[in-house]
Amino acid sequence: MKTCVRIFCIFMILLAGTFGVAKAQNLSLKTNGLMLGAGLPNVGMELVTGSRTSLEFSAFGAYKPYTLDIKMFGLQPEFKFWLSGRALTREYVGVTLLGVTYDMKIKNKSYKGDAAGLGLTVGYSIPLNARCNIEFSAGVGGYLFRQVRHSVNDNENDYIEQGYDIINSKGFKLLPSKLAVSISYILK
Amino acid sequence: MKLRFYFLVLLSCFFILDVMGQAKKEVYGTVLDDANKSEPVSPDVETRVLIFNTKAAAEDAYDKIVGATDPQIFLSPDDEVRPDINGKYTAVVAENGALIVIPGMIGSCEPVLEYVNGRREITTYVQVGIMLDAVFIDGETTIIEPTQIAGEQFGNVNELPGLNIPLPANLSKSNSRLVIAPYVVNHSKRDTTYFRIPHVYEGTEFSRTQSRWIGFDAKHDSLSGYVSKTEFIKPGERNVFVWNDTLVFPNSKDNFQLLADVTLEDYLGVYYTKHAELSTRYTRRPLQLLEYELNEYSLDPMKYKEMPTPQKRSEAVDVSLTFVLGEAKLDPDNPENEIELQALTDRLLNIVNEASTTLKEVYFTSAASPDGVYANNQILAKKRLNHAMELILSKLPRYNRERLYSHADSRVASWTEVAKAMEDSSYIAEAGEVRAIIEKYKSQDLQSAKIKQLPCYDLIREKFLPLFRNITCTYMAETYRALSPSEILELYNDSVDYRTGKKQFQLYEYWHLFNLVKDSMELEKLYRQAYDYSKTIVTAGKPKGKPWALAANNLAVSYLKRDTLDLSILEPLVDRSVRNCNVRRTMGGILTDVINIEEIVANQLIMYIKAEQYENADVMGQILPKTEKYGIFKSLTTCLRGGYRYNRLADPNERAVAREAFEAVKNSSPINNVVMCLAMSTLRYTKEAQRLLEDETVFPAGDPNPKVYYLKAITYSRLGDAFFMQAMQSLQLALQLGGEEYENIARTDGDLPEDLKEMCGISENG
Repeated sequence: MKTCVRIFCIFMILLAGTFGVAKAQNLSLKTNGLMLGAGLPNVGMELVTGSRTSLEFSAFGAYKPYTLDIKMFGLQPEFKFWLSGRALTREYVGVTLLGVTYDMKIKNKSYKGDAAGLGLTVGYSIPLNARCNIEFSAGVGGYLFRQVRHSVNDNENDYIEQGYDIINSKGFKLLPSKLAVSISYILK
Repeated sequence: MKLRFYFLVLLSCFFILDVMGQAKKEVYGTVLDDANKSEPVSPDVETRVLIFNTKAAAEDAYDKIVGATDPQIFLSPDDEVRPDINGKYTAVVAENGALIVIPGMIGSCEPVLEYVNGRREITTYVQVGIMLDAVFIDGETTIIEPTQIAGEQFGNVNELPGLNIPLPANLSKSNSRLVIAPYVVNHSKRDTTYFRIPHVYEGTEFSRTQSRWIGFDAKHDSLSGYVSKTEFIKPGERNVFVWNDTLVFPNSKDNFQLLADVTLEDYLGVYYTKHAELSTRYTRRPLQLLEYELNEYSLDPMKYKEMPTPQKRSEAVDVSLTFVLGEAKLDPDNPENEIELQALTDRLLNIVNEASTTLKEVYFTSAASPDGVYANNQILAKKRLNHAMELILSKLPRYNRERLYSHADSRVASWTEVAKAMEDSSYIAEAGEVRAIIEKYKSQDLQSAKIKQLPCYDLIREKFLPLFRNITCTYMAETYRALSPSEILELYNDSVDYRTGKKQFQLYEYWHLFNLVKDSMELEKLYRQAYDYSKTIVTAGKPKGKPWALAANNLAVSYLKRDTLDLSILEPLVDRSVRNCNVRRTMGGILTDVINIEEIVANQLIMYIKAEQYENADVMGQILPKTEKYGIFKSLTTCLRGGYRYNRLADPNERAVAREAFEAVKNSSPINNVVMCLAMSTLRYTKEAQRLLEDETVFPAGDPNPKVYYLKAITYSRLGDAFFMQAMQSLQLALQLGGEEYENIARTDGDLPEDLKEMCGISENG
């Protein structure tokens, strides 16, 4: 978890560094309303990289939302190709990566592990004014996961060896990679 | 015999019967639909029944109808009836005549030939086909098709209100930009004349998202300054963008048209282009046939007489005095010396004694011949000069002598000058000998010695050396006397410098020359000289830079008389900020200037009208006073620039002024009456024009004026297809009488329909 946070901070610093360099490119700040509603605070930045392309990098996390015993942190970069011909406007298709680390207890089961995967996304962005957009997007992808899975009544120490978790569950799942109603604000 | 008699009686009965059979009877007919035998033909099908009293005529007509391809073929029935809604009709026809029942237009359905054959009731079944119900379709164009605006041209100005580009719903997108780039083409010269400002309309989304385009900088978007801030493309609905324009053409004669390149683009690029015609190909020039006289106005010369000013005049006089050889004494044996001396002295004394002149400076120059020793010659020349000066100046009063600047200069002529004089007198060989010596010997003394030895020396000494022994006296006198007219004319005729303008007369002297010189081209040159010169000087009533009014007006009148235009001549004398004529400006009670002399303003108005700059002419018209002399000008200029259309004005004062101008020009002549009626472009006035043109007390029959027939052609063509033949006949007559001039007018006249021009053989290209 700490490693992920470290990586995220470094990336954000690098991204902020491009702020001064990307003079002619739009940079926007965004957040996914659906994730917020689900108790997952999130923030993202999107940089226009070409006349029809943009790169988005977002991060999300959760710490016991709605009294649920769920902790997670994820990063999701996404590359978008805007079919309309103009970035941050109308329809696009994209490729996204997702990396998440989680520790949650659901229905007397404990799940603790990491997942990563690749997905495809589609979306539609509506310009509300010169700086604001509302974006609807969805995607699906395949994810590899590895986790420690046990009953909540079990002794957790039984699943730790030499300070490392004993992975007893791995797999591949097809899951939604994205479901978003985002509001973005173009900073420049 | 009896049998033959009865046969003849029987035969004659047939004849009588046949004759009786040709009597006309009423026949009751019914036309029914063959498809539904009990029903009459649908009232949508217009049915006619042609009546022929002979079978042969009916058969001929029937053959014509059956084989006809033109529904307007000419038939000549004896009568014609139309069945009522029930298909019934009554016809009066000969008993052995025939009827032709024609359902619909000729050629659309098969006609039926009915022989009467004595019948009193005839039922005819016609085949009209299957009648379809009318279907109404709502259609909408899917391409950009602007309504062409028929502008009205006054002079070289064309007003085009309501220019439009309709954008159909299928092309209207929120993420699109419409660019309209209008330009004017000259069809007469087949050239693009100039471009108008573009009109750019954007969809709201396009406008909002421009800045999201990578690398976009509004400063580099050449169209950003033309994007409409108030009108946007509404997506999914029909948008119509309208604007007004007034075009000023380089001339009024050529045929100009406003076209436009229309482009639609979205984020991905241009998705639609169209080359649109915004105005009609031919414009209407409602006042091109207006009649008016433009007579120039001259100024009264006595009111513009200039006062003479003192002028310095210089004269140079050659005095030929002979001296004793080798001495500075006049030769007493030459009586000419005394005469020359006396003449010069008298002249100087005249100047001194005359009240209007003052002798200011005197220059004496003397020359000695090169014969002999140079140094001695030089001393001798100087002595002779001083002697001559003493002789001449001693005659002047001491008072004047003390105030006179005098200067003397003496020199010795060179042998080169002698050789040149010999060559000028055709002594080439002898001159050559002299030149050879000059070339060989650089010292003048040596040259003298050698030339003395030449065989031609006697000739040189007697004929040429005396030429170089002379004294010239140049004096400068200030003359405060005006030259008399004859002196002025003499000076003008004798002096090339004055004639060519190298030297200038005074304005006072130009004033006299204007009256003395008779040749019109010479006078025009004098006017121009006086005009140009007067701009450089200041006189009473005329500040520097302003030309002399009389010279300017005379020059303008001269130009107008030979139909030459120069708008710059009178412009400095017209102050547009002053809306009155003959405004006197004074300073301390002294007249400094007169602004807007009315004759000058009137002549400038005429210049503008002839140059077809009607807006400027109207400005001049507003300056002129409203008098009987100039009243028609004011109305004329208002009309020529299009200000007569009182029915389009909302302000009552402006309406009254426009109406007054309209009526004044309308009532100025019968032709103008018709022209102004047609210029109003309303049905009421068109009918009034028709009434006037058809009134033989106004325009007698057989009038040879082609204008009358041209105006008739325009009038009839406006009244509709029913008057097409009359329009055509009138235009043909106009072309016949008016020739190429009227053909050229008609070719580019938007008042005449294209089919009419085509029928009269007027082609687009001439």
